[in-house]
Amino acid sequence: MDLLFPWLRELVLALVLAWLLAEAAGRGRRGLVLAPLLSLLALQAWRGLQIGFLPLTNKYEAFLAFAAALLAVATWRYPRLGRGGRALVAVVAAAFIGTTLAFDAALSWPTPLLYTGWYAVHVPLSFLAYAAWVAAAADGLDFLGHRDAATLLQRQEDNLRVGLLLFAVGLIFGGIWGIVSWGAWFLWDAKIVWSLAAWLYFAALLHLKYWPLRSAAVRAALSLLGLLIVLFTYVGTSFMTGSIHSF
Amino acid sequence: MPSPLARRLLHSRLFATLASARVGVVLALLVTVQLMASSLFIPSPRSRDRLPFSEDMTFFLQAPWERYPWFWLLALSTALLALSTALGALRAFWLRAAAGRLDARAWGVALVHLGFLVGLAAHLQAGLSAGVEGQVLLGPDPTPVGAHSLRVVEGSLRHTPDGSLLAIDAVVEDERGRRQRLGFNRPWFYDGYRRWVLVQGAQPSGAVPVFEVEGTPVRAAAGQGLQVGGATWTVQRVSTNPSLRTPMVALLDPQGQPLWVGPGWSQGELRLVGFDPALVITALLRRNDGIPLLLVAMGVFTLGVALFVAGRRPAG
Repeated sequence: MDLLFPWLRELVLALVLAWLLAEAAGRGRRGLVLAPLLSLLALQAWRGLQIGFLPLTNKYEAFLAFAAALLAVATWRYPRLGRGGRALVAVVAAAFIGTTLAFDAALSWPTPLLYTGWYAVHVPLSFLAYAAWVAAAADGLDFLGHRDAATLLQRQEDNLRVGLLLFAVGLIFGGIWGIVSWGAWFLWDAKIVWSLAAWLYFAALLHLKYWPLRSAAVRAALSLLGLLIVLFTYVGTSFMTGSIHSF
Repeated sequence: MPSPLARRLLHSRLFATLASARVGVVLALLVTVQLMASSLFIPSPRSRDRLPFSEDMTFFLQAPWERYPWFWLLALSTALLALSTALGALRAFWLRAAAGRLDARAWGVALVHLGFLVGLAAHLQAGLSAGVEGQVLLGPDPTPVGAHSLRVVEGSLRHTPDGSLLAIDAVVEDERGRRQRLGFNRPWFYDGYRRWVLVQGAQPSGAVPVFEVEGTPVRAAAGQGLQVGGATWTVQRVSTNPSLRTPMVALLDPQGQPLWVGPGWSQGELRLVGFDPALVITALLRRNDGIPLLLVAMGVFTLGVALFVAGRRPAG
């Protein structure tokens, strides 16, 4: 088992790349998304069993978990995403899984403050919310590929709303965790400030439907900008700021 | 039916402007941009010029306003966003009620917005009241914590296979004999959730005497009285002097005479069985008057989310 499972990461990456190539060739299938997702879940489950806790204790596991969240949302939304959108999700997932090749894959145990159910709920909910917002950006890309605007905007709104609700509940759990662990639900810290900004940004985007814009392209562009905000909130604040919330 | 004044207000241009989706969206995006920009100005909590630990806003109130202009701009924009959200949500709710379309989803949306606003209010209240009231060491002997007195009755540490500390599991007793488990991520709240004891660390230190009183084992703290056959024996202190072969307990007998006793000593129905290792907990005393309101906000918001998700989606 110990020798077999480290290879799963490379297998997952190969499957995602195969999915990406299939999408580029117009031969995408839902099974091609499901295969890397199940492999990734198996890898994470194995790591979780080894440490007796949620496998989210270092950069390596966090990036794999984010990729798993992306693939889960992609599998769920597969029939509704266009080719361009599916390719975007595959590129982001491949980038995250590929980046883990540079990280130390050794098992690590949670620090005492991570060892709580609040953390175990807060992080997966946040990842799923990020993934839903990436799917909303994928809808935006599909729109730019000249798909039906009305249908697309409805699908994008669904993804935005799912992300917003998941992230809100994730923030609530994170706030409670902050109170019982650090004594504060809010810190003047880049990661927390950007998380609130991201939530507010997507809330504003969701409310754009009450302000009909002349061009749906504006909404599509704003959702693609949202992808950058998600990536900076999740990755950028950890590597580019002095956040204490980093990996 | 609303009063004429309320109706006039609802139909006024100022109300319409403030409650409009355009103004709300613009303000939300403005606050978003300001939050993002503020991350460039906020000194990292890791830096020497660190900001206050938490929600504390008194730090900004006490500083000259020109020192942190981004904070005041952010506060102004957030206040306007709160006003716009309140009016917009109120108008949307009113219009739905007037049209007879107050279904579960409509209630859910209203509660989500209400939760957001109550959360902002809680954040403001916290900003003016949150702080650290001190640090304490909790051990086997009673330690004052606010109006209470806490002592660690028993406790243990759990380690990971690599030897790092993973968890603290301590039972703490207050002056009324109420017990509660304490550890990392498991604080002891008091004063209506406005204050709490936050565990930061623990280590074994000293010994706790374990007596058998009329057949019942009792872990005793310094100052604790032991009732035996109507007489009271009082534990004064424990000595763990390394020159002694075993820890010793200083007792006061029912006549008030001091005596030192070791494991195995007995007098009638009172016997010193031995010693358990004592655990000393390092704890932070936190205060935040906004916690009860914040919990209300979280509850209202979550209820709103649940109603929205459970509600049937309208056709079309």
